[in-house]
Parts: sequence; C-alpha cells; structure tokens
Amino acid sequence: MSAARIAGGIVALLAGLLLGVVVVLSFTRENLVQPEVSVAGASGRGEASPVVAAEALIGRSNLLGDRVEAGQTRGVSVDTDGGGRADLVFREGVAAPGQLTSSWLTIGEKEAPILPEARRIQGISSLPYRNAASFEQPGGRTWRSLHNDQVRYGGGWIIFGVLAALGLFLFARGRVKIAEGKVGTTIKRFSATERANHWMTSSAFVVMALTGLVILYGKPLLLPLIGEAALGDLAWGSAWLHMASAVPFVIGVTMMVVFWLFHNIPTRLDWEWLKRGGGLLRDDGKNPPARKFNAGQKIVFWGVTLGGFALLASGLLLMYPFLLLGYGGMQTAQLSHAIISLLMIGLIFGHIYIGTIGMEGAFAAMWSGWVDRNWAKEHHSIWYRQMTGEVGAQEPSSAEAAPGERGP
Amino acid sequence: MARMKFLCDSDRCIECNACATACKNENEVPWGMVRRRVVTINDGNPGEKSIAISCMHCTDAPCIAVCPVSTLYQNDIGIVLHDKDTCIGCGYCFYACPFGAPQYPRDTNFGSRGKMDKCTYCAGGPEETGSQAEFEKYGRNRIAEGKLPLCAEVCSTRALLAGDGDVISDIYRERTEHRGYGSGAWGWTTAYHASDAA
Repeated sequence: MSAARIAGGIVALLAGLLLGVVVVLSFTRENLVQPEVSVAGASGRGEASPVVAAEALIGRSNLLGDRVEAGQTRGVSVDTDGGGRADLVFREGVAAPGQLTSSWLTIGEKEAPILPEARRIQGISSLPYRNAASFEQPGGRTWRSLHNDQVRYGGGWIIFGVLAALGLFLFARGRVKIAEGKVGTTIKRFSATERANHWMTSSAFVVMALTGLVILYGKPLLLPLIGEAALGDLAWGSAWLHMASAVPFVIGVTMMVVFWLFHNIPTRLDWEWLKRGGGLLRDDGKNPPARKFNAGQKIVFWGVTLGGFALLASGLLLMYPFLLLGYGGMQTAQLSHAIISLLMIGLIFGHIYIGTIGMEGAFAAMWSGWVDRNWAKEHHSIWYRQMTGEVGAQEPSSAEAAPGERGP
Repeated sequence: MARMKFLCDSDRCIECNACATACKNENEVPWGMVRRRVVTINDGNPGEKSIAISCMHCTDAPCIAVCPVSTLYQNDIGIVLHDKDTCIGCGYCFYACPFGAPQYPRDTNFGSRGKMDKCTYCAGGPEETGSQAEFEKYGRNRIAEGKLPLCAEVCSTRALLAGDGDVISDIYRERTEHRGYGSGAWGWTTAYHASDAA
C-alpha cells in the first residue's frame, strides 16, 4: 500500500472522528450565557458578602417607589438618606452560574401579569442616528441561535465531512496515475499571467478563509488555548487582513472570468463526463473526453466565481452596516456570507486535493504551466488534439479549433 | 440576591430626554453615541407612547453569545459589561441586540467600527474600580458606591425605574393597580425571559 493511501486513511480516520464529535455536539443544547463576575458588598466590618450587596441595592431600589417616606414604606424599611452605604466590589468567578441564569429565566407570579408580547416595535426618535427609532427587534435572538448553532456546527459538518470523504477516497482509490506513464515531453497548458492570477486569488482566498474561521470559531476553539487578550489581538488583525485580502481576491476572480469564462460554458460533453464519474474510478486512462476544462473543473469555476461574487456582495453590505438593509437584511447578509464561504472552503478542499495529491501530473499545469503529453491526452483528449493540430473527431468546435496562442 | 433590571413606565414617560442627557454627562459618552435614548411609538396618533430604552442587561444575553472575542460579559446581579481592550468592532452584538444598545465610533466597517460602547448600568468596566482608566473607558461606577444608574434616579416622573427586578416590578404593579391602567413592562419578555439556547 502506497504512502499516499496510508495518509488518506489517517486523514479519513481523524476527520471522521472530529465529524462525529461535531455531529454529537450539534444535537446538544447550546449553553445558556452564564455570569462570570460576582458582586459583593462590604458594610464596614468583616468579609465582603453578596448579601450585603443585594441589601444595599434593594434598599436603594425601594427609594424609587412612589410616596417614599422614611421608616416603613410598602412594608419595607427604607432609609431615605440615600442608601448606598456599602462599597461594592467585583470579583472574577460565580458559583453555579448556569443555575443563576435559569433562575432568572423563570417567570415569577408577580411578573407574569406585566409581561408584554415579544414583538418588533419601531417608533420615531429625535436622534439623527441609524436605528435610533427601533425599540425592540426580538429577531436578534433568532439570529444569535442561527449563527451560534446552525452555522457554526454546519461549518464543522462541511469541513470535516469533506476532509473525511477525500481521505477515504484517497485510501480506497490511491492516486490517479497517468495510465501510460509520463512520456517526458510537455505541452503548455496555462500562461504565466493565468498562473500568477490563480496564485494571487488562491493565496487571498486562504488568508480570508483562515481569518474568517478565526472570527467564527476563535471563541469556542482558540479562547481556551490562548486567552482573552491574545484572541482579541488575533481577531483584530484577522478583521483587517480579511478586509484587505478581499481586493486581490475580487480582482483575481474577475480576471478568471475574463480568461476562462468561454471555456467553462456547460455543454453536452459535461453531462457525459459527469455520468461516467469523470473516469475517476478507473485506472486504464480511458477517461471521458474533455476540452480545456472538464465538468469537474467547470463546477469549481462556477463555484468560485458565483460564490466569490456573492461573498463580495454580502461582504460589501457588511462593510456598510444598515446603509441599504435593515435588521433582517443585515442578519441575512451575515449568515449568507458565512454559509457561502463555508461551502466554498469545502469546494476548494476538493480542488486542492485533485490538483495535488489526488492526481499525478495535475499540479504542473498550474505550477510550471507545462503538462505531460500523456496526462493531457488522458484527461483533456479533445483539447490535446486541438493543441497538437490533430483534428478532433469528436464534436469539433469551430471556436476551439482555432489555434490558441497558448499552444506549444 | 438582587437581579438588576430597567423598567420604563410608558404611561409616565414625557419624552423629556433627561435620562439620555444625564447619562451622556455622567459617563462622558463620546459624540455620536448614546447609551440611552427615547423612542416614541404611534407619534401623533391615539395611543402615542414614549419609552426610554438602553441596554436592558438581558438574561441569556444574545450579545454575549455572539461576540467573537470575549468583550461582553455579565455579573451575578445581571449587569452586562464590556471590555474595550478586546473589542474588534465587528458589529455582531448590534445585530443580536433586541434593543439597539451597542454603539460604535464609526459608521462603516472597513476592518472595524471601532471599540463598541454601551450602557454599563453605571457599573464601570474591567479596569480597577473607581480608577481614572475605568472612568475614561466606561464612565462612572455608581454601583460600586451602592447607587443605581443615574438615568433612573434623575427621572422626574419616575417613569424609568432601575434596580432589583422584584422591587421595581412591585412598584410598577402597585402603581398600575392604583391608577387603574398600565401597558406593561415594555421589552421584558424579550430581555429577561426569552432563551434562544435550544
């Protein structure tokens, strides 16, 4: 068994285990927000105590009652000289914080009659600020659970699911070899401009993916490891890098459209290619015919361009908060941005896999720009015949039959 | 134990904005930001009501849940506080907040909207209690002195109540029983008794 297949098995195992963990976690209840700091009051002598703090604050609260007089008011002993005679101190750590939150959530008998219905309430405001006129938007809580639950765990499903699938595929199948072996002579596949553009776009994508993952997963995964201050700095840097990398990414994707759109228009041939699984499962090199790009590559092209522009649109909306959209719109923009980028990360995992370890001879296409002739013959038969001047017998295309300047 | 809350009696609020003004002055809140504001509903129509709103210091606060760093935190009397040192200005707390409480120095998000600011229930922040650093970043720490937020203590009609939830709901309920009407504790269901941790 080759080293590649063993590595594939290990990746499949690890990613599978992590996927299992994520799947289990995604069916557990999200934790309630728990208080982290305790308040205690010192009343002159002895240790500061939470009871003293509570008494001081409750005494002071009673002063807000109507017709407050010294002595007994509303059955409570009230000190009208101002209360607040305790010094309150704040300390890290709360005993049984989860129970405290649960007890706060419980609706008391006295409260029940005054509780209103939770609903969106919009009024007017004399302030010139955006959203100043909004009183209540309970949808914020819905967005919170979609963001923290569905999107966060969904991202884990995508990332570990795709990794496990790829590892399993490598384990079961091994690398896709050039059936006839390398012939040694090469044919030019991508120009220096195309390659430079590809690597600019891909490095910008990697930076944005990593910085975006810091924003989405930094708190649950990195905070326990690196602490609050380091996560704050890392997230601050990530936010800036994320923004800056958008420029080369968008330029790169636009150039890809210019270079490659024509070659990526879906044709009948792609359907044939997909039906035969792209020949991925056979070793004899008899792959379905393809022009410059096969259906798999076209899927990556459309995923990157449509996904990239969708990320640009949603990202711009997030950069100008509430300029065009209201609450619901901003929340949808943020969720779409996260979901689309997680899907694209999954897609790019597949792209990186087949372009490197997954297939012998593929990486040279985007690295040196020259590919082995046998590789070209096996994977892009029609393109190869057109490039070498042999008349393509299958579905000759007048447009692609024209000698390309990228030919040898 | 005490659980600090805000309650605005919309049948008493006269939209004088003293709460917002006193808050800005007491905490020296920067230009362009308000920790408390007054919203008028059904303006000019029958049933018009004005309500002062700020951070409500929610139970299971959604802002804390969505913060991608560790800026927002809560203490055991329910007050939600923030740490400006770690804030990255992403704006997520504003999307999550049911009451529009978080404020930012900048309108656009190129890299950051700046360090978020919001109502501290006059309880300062993570700096040393009573220090100049605490005052400059977070405003006055009245809670440390056993006092309540100034917005409520300054309210001339006692529309805005701050303090222990049981005490202020008692005050409000007795008041509405006495006068015979009341439109309830605006925002309380969403703020204090809604949990989206499902």
